[in-house]
Amino acid sequence: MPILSLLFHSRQWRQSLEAARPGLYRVAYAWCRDAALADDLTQEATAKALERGDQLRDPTRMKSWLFAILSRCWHDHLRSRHPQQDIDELAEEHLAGDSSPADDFERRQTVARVRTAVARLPVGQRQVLTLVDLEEFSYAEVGEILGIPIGTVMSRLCRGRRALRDELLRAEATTPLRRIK
Amino acid sequence: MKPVISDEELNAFVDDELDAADRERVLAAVATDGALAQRACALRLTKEHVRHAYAEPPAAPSHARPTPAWRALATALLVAGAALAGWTARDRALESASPASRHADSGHVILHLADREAARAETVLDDAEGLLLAARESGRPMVVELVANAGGLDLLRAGVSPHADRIARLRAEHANFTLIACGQTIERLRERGIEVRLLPGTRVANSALDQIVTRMGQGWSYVRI
Repeated sequence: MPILSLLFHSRQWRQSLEAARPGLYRVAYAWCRDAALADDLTQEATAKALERGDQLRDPTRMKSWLFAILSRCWHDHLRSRHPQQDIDELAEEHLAGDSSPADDFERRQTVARVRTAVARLPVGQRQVLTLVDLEEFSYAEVGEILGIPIGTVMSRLCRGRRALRDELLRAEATTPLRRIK
Repeated sequence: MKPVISDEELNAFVDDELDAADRERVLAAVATDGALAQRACALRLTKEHVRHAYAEPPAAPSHARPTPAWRALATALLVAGAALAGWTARDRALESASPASRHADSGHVILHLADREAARAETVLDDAEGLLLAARESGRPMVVELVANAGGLDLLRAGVSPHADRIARLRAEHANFTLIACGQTIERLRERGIEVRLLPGTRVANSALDQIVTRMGQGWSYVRI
């Protein structure tokens, strides 16, 4: 193996990884709702991807492979903090609301409400939902990333979206609407 | 009788996961069933809400990275056996990045930087370090020469280069790493009244082009960053 061609592929590899970072970070943030942790998880996943580049047999599947690594990093993190619990069923109970300045308040409020609702979903549902909605992975790809059957992907997505929809409807109902007389 | 559309199916419809026949069936049902249409709408809206909520995630807090990616990369390059087989597999799967990668491995590489863009300057050093480490680890002879001209010269200018420390370290760790500055670029800067001091150990060639032509004539591999 010529050393020089390693260089070219390593550079290409590094560039693909760099390009994938924003997507990984976005999803990591949607999962944990903690910018610093999301950044750490993204960093950890990228470093692991660099180390284990040899395990990726099909470069066209790089994206799902990266998200699978990210998911394992997060699960490891959760397991270290909740050793006794079923990770997929974990849900955040207490969450600090986003502090938002007065300007742009309504938009921020909607965003914060959705993020809170997403964070309240059990981990399993949260992961399926964000991978489908934010990264547009197919159900089959999500099954591969999380190592679960496609039927489980569908039922988790279904339950997650239903919970989210109900939550958002409820929030709308309790927010006083300004009416024009 | 109304066709029964399950929630799962409706979600799959919203996510464009149905095949043509099923999609048609759902579309027909949605057209005649107002409540079903509303459910589909609510699901789509929920999806849009999620997308919108993370369109601009908060910026990651910037903290210093003690282990930069290139170090992990160098390690990855050096893992023997299995890893190399992996790289070879990818080698076949991806197209060659540049004609230079098809050159025989002469063990002599000229890295050419002609640009002051920060990312390129980092890339050239990452590449130099990756090559030097890989060569050392595998016990292969290797000489890496970094040639800088035009905006790229900044990398080799004392008091200007943002990477003076790293370059000094690389030179201390690798005797087979040399730095060449383009004489013409220096000349032009001096004509404009700009004082040019070079990092310790930097040699000056007549011009970057001369140096590159000479080296390529000697069988060196050329990499433009």
